[in-house]
Amino acid sequence: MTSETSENDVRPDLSAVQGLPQKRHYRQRAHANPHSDHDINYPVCPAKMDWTGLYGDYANGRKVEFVDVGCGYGGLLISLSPLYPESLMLGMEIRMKVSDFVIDKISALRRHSKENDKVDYFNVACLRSNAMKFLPNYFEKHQLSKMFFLFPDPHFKNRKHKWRIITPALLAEYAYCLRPGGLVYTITDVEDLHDWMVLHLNEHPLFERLTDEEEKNDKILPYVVNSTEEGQKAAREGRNKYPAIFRRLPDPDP
Amino acid sequence: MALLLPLDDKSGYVFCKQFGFFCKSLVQAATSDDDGIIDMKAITEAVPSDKEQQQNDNSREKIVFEALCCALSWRKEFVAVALSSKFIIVFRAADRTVIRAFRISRFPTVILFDKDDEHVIVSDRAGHVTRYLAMKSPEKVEQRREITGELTNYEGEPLSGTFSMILDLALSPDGRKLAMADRDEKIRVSRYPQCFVIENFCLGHTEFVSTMAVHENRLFSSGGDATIKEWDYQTGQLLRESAPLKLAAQKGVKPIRKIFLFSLNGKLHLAAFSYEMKTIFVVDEGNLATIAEIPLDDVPLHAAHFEGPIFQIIARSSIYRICCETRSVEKVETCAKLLELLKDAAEPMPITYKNVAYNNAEQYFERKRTKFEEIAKGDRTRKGKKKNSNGKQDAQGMDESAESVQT
Ligand SMILES: C[S@@+](CC[C@H](N)C(=O)[O-])C[C@H]1O[C@@H](n2cnc3c(N)ncnc32)[C@H](O)[C@@H]1O
Repeated sequence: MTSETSENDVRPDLSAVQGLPQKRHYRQRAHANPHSDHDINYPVCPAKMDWTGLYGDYANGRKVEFVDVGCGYGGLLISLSPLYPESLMLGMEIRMKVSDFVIDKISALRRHSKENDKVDYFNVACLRSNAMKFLPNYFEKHQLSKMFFLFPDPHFKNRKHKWRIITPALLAEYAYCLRPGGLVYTITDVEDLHDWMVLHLNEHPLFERLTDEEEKNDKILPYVVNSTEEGQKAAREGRNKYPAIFRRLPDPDP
Repeated sequence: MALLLPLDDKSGYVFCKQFGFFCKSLVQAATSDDDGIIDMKAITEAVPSDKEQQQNDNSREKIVFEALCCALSWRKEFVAVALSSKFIIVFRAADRTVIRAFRISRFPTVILFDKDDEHVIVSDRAGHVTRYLAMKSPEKVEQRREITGELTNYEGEPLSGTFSMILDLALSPDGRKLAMADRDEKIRVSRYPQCFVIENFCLGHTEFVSTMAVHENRLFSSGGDATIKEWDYQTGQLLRESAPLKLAAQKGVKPIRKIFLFSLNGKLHLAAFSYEMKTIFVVDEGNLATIAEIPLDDVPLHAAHFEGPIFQIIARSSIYRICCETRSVEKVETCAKLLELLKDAAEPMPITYKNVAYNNAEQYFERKRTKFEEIAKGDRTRKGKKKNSNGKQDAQGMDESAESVQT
């Protein structure tokens, strides 16, 4: 843990927790093809999803509100969990071992919390799924209030740009899942990708960027910048990080 | 592959290979060699191309030249055909005057006129939905962005995109909603032409959705699971669904490729065609029960609705006319040239069921279990003997050591 800590570390101190999984047992190659038919069990429609499988009784009367798309090793979820105990948060991660790491980590945290008669971390969960294909299978129209796209795969080659997680096509789906007023957070250490994400979000009629002032005052932004593994890595290696926040606008009158 | 396009209750076009045949009477009388023929290959070869397009052209040389989908304008004046050579031709139905012939960048799957007949809406295998001017060429074709954000020099206005092949398109009666059916079991209903507003998803099919039909506020759909589902497309709500359409003796289901709504004795019915079976299912819209299974002489390559209970199918052996009221099936006499071409017509566009060949997840958890057991055992021995603690035994196992690793 210590080797990963940087000055801006906003992550909770988990040193008291026993049985946390070790990342080295869960490494997986960097990219999974978002086009292929993975053996992912997704529900036919949101009503068919059993959320208690992920959140236990904590899912009763609550709906997922925050989604971390491509959550990687789950740093954001773990950090935000104590801040929004009443909000269900979901990490979606296509790589099986990586998602399994997050699942095991959350189990260990919940176990620890239960031993102390608390319900910490019952509001966060991770799901192995392909967010480019199956979001509408999990979420109803306008269900979400925040979506996070933190350090997404850059897909540098021109021919692979269409695999990027922010495209005009996918933004329509994100806008469908987000309620008007909901927020999209993006961050990357690849300037070209930042420009791409900002370009497409700016051009999309259903999104508008927050003002500098609003971005500066956003409570979550420090976690977006510093809580994830990729964010820590970029800081360690001295790379710039480019965050941005966009608001989901109401649909125009038909 | 061969396509039928009815113009009215009698006449229509038949597309096979590079030709479109105008048939004055597709109903009873024979079509003759004198009927008008449009040579689509000749038309497209005359269209100039730029560099990017040439490359794209060259890569399609091995492709069988054929019409993949076609549409009639709502005022029934114009025909649009989308070709395997990635061309669209719009021509006047009455005299085959070519209005437009232009290139697109990917294999088309469905083409449809919008309600004012100004554009054709085209979906493709990569899941893009794009519209193009139907009646005139754009004044200037500038570099633009695809719905995936990529730059392209092809004309067109991107509307929508999915990570899945689009298999059917349908417009609401007022032309303000566009429904898109895809291989990932979904129907997406967007505003048209502001498709960035997705109004709903109609979710319930368990296999690909390959055909839709609209009636007022309701949408009917079918596909790989062979059920007919009825939706309120304004809300995405599933209203009713049928059992899978299949013959009593049949094991398993065959995908339904085309459904039509039609009126029989003043009541709404559905006709459902599989392109793998010699059967038409006639379904009562009232209770979605199958009321007839009409046997056919051949497997349809394509089916079309003429008027009332009259349908036609085109098959390798001929064209057939079917009356869903009397359940009669008659061979339509067809000109020699068309018959010859039909003999080796290609299969309709293949739609594959999902094929998740290896059970990735199961294997992984199995390996994980054994590995963690070993680690636990190792820990115990280490603790017991206080030696042999190199801890490297887990360097492989779950690690795909041959592959690049990134956190
Ligand atoms: C570079 S990592 C960033 C992880 C994390 N957000 C962080 O900041 O540390 C991008 C992650 O997105 C995941 N991903 C890519 N495409 C995805 C998709 N379609 N659905 C879900 N996850 C995806 C990748 O597997 C990868 O773990």
